[in-house]
Amino acid sequence: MKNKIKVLRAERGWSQATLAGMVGVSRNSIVSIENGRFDPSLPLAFAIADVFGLKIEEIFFRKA
Amino acid sequence: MTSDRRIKTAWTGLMLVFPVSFLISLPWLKEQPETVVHLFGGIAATGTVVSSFVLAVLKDQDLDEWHRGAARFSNQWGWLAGGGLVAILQGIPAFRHLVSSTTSGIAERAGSSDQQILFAFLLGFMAVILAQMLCIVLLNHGWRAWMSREEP
Repeated sequence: MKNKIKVLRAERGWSQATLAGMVGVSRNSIVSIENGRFDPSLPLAFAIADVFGLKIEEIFFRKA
Repeated sequence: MTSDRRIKTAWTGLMLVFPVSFLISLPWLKEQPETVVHLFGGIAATGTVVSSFVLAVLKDQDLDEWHRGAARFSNQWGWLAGGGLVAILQGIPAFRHLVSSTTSGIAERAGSSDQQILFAFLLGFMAVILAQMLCIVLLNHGWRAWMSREEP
C-alpha cells in the first residue's frame, strides 16, 4: 500500500518521532509505513488520518 | 523512574533472586535431605517461571503492531530454522563428536549408561531450544532492520 504520510508530515514540520508519539506507536512503525514496507492496521490508519485531519483514502492508496 | 518501569524492575529482580539464591545455597543444600532439596528447587523454579511469565505479559503490553509483526515473523520461521539448523549440524562429524564426548564425559562421572542416554537426550533437546532461540533473535533483528531501513 502506498501513502503520502512523508509529504503530509513535511508540510506540518513533524518528525517521524512526533507523528509516532501522536498515534501511539514506535518511530520504526512510521518509518516502515512511510516506505510502504509495512501496512498499518485499520485502527492505526484511522489514527493517522485523524491526526492529519484527512480521510484514510486521502492518505493511503493501492499500489499501482 | 516511572511506576511502570519500577514494576518491571521489581519483577526482573524477583526473577533473578530465585535462581541466584538456589545457586548460593548449593553448599548448604548438599547437606540437606532430598525432600528439602526438591522443595527448595521446586520453589525456585516456580518463582522463576511465574516472574518470567509476568514480565513477558508486561512486555507484551508495550508492543505496537510493528513489533508484533517482527515477533510473528521471527517466531514462525525461527522455530523451523532452529530445528533445521540442529539437524544439519548433526550431519557434521565434528559436532556429533562434540555431543557424544560431552555426554559420555558427564555420564562417566554419573557411572551409568542409562544416565548417558538421558544426558544425550537432554543435551540434544537443549541444543534444539538454544538454536531456535538464536534463530528467533537473529530473524527478529533482521526483520526490524529490513523494515525500518531508510529509503536511499
